[in-house]
Amino acid sequence: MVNRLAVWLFLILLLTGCSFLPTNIVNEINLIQGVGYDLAGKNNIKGTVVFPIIKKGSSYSEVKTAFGQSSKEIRTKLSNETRFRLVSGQLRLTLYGKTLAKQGINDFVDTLNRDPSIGSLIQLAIVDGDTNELLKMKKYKEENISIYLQEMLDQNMEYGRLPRTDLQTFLLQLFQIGQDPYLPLIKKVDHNIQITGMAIFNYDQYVTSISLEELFIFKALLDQNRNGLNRFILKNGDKVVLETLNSNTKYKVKIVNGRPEYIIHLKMKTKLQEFAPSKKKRQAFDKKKYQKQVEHKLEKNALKMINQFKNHQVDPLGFGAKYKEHYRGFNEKQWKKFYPNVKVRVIANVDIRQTGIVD
Amino acid sequence: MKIKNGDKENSSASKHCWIERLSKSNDFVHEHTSLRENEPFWLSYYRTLISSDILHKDVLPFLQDRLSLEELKSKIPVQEIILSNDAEEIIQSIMNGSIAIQIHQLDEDCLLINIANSKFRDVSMPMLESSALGPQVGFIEELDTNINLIRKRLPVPELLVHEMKVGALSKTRVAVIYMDGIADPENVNTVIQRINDIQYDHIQDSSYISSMIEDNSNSLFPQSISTERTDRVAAGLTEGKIIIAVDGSPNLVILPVTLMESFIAMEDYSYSWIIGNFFRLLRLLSVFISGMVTPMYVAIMTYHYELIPARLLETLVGSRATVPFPPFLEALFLELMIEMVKEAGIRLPFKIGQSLGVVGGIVIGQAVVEAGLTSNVLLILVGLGTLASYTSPIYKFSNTIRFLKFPTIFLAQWFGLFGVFLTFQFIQVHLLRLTSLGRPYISQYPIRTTSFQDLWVRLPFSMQKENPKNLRPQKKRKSTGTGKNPEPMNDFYE
Amino acid sequence: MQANIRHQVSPYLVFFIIYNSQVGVGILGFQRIIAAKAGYDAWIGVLLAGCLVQAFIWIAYKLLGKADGDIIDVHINLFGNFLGKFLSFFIIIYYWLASISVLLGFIEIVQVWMFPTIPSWILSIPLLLLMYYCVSGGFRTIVGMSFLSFVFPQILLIYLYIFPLKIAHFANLLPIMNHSFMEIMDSIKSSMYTLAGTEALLMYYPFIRDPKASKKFAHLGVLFTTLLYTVSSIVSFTFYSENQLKTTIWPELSLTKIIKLSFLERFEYLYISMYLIIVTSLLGLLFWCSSRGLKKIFCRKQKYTLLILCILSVVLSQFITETFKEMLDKMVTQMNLYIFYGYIPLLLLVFTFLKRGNQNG
Repeated sequence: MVNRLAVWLFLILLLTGCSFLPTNIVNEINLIQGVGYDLAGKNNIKGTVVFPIIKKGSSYSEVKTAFGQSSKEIRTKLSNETRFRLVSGQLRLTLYGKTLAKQGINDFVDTLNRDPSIGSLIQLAIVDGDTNELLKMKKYKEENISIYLQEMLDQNMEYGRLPRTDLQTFLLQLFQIGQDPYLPLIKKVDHNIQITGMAIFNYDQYVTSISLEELFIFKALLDQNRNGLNRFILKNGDKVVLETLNSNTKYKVKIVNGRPEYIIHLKMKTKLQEFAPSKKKRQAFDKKKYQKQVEHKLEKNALKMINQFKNHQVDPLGFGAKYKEHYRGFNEKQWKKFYPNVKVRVIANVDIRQTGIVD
Repeated sequence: MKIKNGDKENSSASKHCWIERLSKSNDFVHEHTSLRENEPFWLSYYRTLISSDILHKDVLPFLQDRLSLEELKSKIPVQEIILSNDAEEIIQSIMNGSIAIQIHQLDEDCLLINIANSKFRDVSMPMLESSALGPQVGFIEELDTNINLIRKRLPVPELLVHEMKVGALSKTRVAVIYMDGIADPENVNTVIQRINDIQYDHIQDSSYISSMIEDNSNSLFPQSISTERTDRVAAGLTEGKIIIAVDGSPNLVILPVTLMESFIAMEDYSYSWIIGNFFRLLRLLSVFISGMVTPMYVAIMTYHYELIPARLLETLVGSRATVPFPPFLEALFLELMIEMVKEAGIRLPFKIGQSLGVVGGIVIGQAVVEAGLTSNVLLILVGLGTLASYTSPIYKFSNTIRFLKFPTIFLAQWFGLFGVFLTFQFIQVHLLRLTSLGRPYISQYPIRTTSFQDLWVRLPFSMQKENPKNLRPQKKRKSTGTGKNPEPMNDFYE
Repeated sequence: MQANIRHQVSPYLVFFIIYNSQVGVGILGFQRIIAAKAGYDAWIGVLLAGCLVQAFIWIAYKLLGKADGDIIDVHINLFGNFLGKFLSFFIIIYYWLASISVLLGFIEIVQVWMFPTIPSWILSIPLLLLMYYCVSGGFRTIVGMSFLSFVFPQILLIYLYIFPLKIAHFANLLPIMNHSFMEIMDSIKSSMYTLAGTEALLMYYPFIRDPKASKKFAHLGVLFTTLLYTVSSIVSFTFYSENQLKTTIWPELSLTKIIKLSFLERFEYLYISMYLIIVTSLLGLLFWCSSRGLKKIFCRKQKYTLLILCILSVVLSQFITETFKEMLDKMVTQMNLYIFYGYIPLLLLVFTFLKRGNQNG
């Protein structure tokens, strides 16, 4: 009896159940793949969304713009002019204008963090200029600009000079005590989009940036260096291009009177790729001499960058977090006071393993 | 080995135990040619193994006179005649199709005349369970021939046949075949009991019997294996399984079985064990693919667009761009179409059927995609799923898998991925509850070491040492040689 | 008082029953709760809580072994028919409330992550029907389900820890033991809710063939789940920064968002759906305990007690409010602590004392 009742219940449930769930049939929704936000006047935000219109065999990206106070409000407004509902489950890329980033992007990141349909591997980037202009570029109309940019950033993080960032790492750094987040900085140059450096934040506000040339040392200090080329112009104008084979960075924290002191050991195994002495005359490569010079150069550059961070009161390398790991009496306010005067030493150790097939 | 030893002890105690031993089986005949008790002759033979033609024409006429066995030997026009008093030899030759003649029932001496039946209705190739390697002999519609085929593969007296008549009107002969000393007597009794309890007018096929004696007749899963392969039946018997053969049916029923046995092809044993395992696991995987692929498509395309990777998005969405139906109807439509083609293919006369397969599969599919009624990705998935379901060597099982797709598609439409796993879980619970002759149907639980010797995977023959424990066999171990081969003295050739 | 041998299960299967009874929806969100006070030292609390559960298993085996029956038999043996049944009733109510808490937890997850608009009863009815089908197959089916839910989803889900561990920040755990003893105690207390479930042993003990041999498997089961929870919390702690974890309601689910395969992204949707297998088998076990208890107390057929419990659960799941749900979780935690870590050890003392007294007298 009970079993039969169960079967009937199940059938009734199934017959009624189907009408309760709103569907998301892929052809009847507009999948937002990229969004961009710019500051437009006081308290007003210009939002841009990119979604693909996929037809059999061909597809193009559609770009729409609206103004509003919050990101979801902008989406609601945009729905007025789209054929299908806008949904954000396929979001791959979010861009923020530099001027907006200076005011803080916490409100925008919050919705990305809160919405369960948004993945945590999406790329965030700061645009030096207008995001709307960048997303609207004619050249990428057919190409699907959001995927293009996402893969460009991914590729550079994997093999190039950019350190790894995505929504998850951004949130991790944003919430971490004694660490500030950083995001890639991109710019529209003529008819191309280029990565121009790294935007460094103080909590959620854009403060300063480091240039493309400095990214090599930045990535090395974050201990994420894998293989990449870097050019060093040494004292007497000799140019040396080294390819990193293996890199390893260690932070040593010493607590002196409750204040931290850092020694950063940078170890690098490299391979010589190009060597152009200033005298324009072929000469044998003096390993020892250049190793020393490169080490010196690295140490100088690293210290220069750390000083820049100290001056701006930002801590993307996580000195504070490392202090906290090693000192039980950590106090955030005190640390903020210590930071500008904290002692940091960088010891570089460059080992040029191979000089190619000539000496 | 054990059986043989017991045998010798018996033969010294009572010279005539072989008659008792053999007469446990119902197709064994032990008869007297004369009306009077003390007069000759006594005949013993297996009805299913000998040719009754030769018996009547060439043997029986000589038995009218009172002759000694030696005289008979010289008179009867059959080539192979031996005189013997060794019980072991007598049993052996009777098993091979000889007829034993004694003057008195208690005589030790026997005349063994080989009149093995060699003329049968032609045995055919297995139609449904074809294989590339291995024996190509299938059962046919004659019960005696079928038993003969089994006896040829297992010529030992432990192979017993218990015959019954079932069906109020059809009076069909049904034989329960099992190995005495291996099969669990409780199982044998259950089967015989259940067959005796059958009340039905007519039995046309062994499937009638198997579905009547199944533990749960409402289940979609076959709780017995229906096979036409002689090697599968013989292998099952040696493990302690019970076979039901029905006169008029080329399919024999194997009981009890577990789910995993539906993935075992006899071909696995023809290959190296590594390759055999690969194909066995491939079949398991294909059943998962077959059952899951279309419902997953429906669930993802209807609810969970987030799961699609960026690179796949354009392919998937683009292929559906012109399709006017929701994914659910699209999938249901295509699945039904494939089933229709398959069903029609079976019903149609052989030659038309072949060309229809081509027409249905390719032309209609292509046309439907071109007309923009379904997406070509789905066509690939449905085709793949249907193909995958046929990898199971058991025909009934592949039908079950394809049928199960439909409720899963419905649940995928109603609950998305949640619904897919709802059906998955339902099937799991159902399989757990299912039994075959009171033995658990699902072989993962409880875990048994024997499942890893020859069920989930097939180890090399030397490592298959035990009979499957879930059958509760009386003979626990297989007669696998252990320690007989001495280790080579040198580890390499020197 | 032992159950029929046909319904009994082999001793080694106790490992899977224990695993099944302990792992529920708790593992998806406990990381945040235990870290609330003890911060990233909370994983020590999980290990310590595991030791407590081991102690409970030892006590339960002692008690049930002496009485050779389930907890109701123990009560009746000690306090007589009426009072014994009355006391057992509270334990049965606990089982039922615990299963409601699991059911509501899972429904909430499905609603938040997958179908925001779906009414609760549409989810609770199929889940409970499935559970009913499982329970009506008898105890062996439930154990089979525990076994399969271990083999199929859990092994797979453990494998998924590889992805977050690839980008883990192990330095997050430093400095170890940075919190006071009281804070760690708090994390023990909050891990007890997730580690709860072994109490079901009090009901299914008579269904174990050769209970003595099963004891080591029970301890192993608890060890496994304790380690699983510890690993799970360490994975979350190294994946999130501390403040980030404190804002994330289901850390274990959010963590699966980073899993990306070439044919599938966003594993969390699959994860939740697969979790259905674990949840229904846990529900099966808990409902089996409560319905069997009711059957023994009121001498009614188990199918009716189970049906009544199911209908009540559906109604409750539909009309329950957020505040009541929080209260329920709190109540289950409190009851678990007081009944099984306060009352049961006491009962063992009383039982040993009285039995000895009887023998002397």
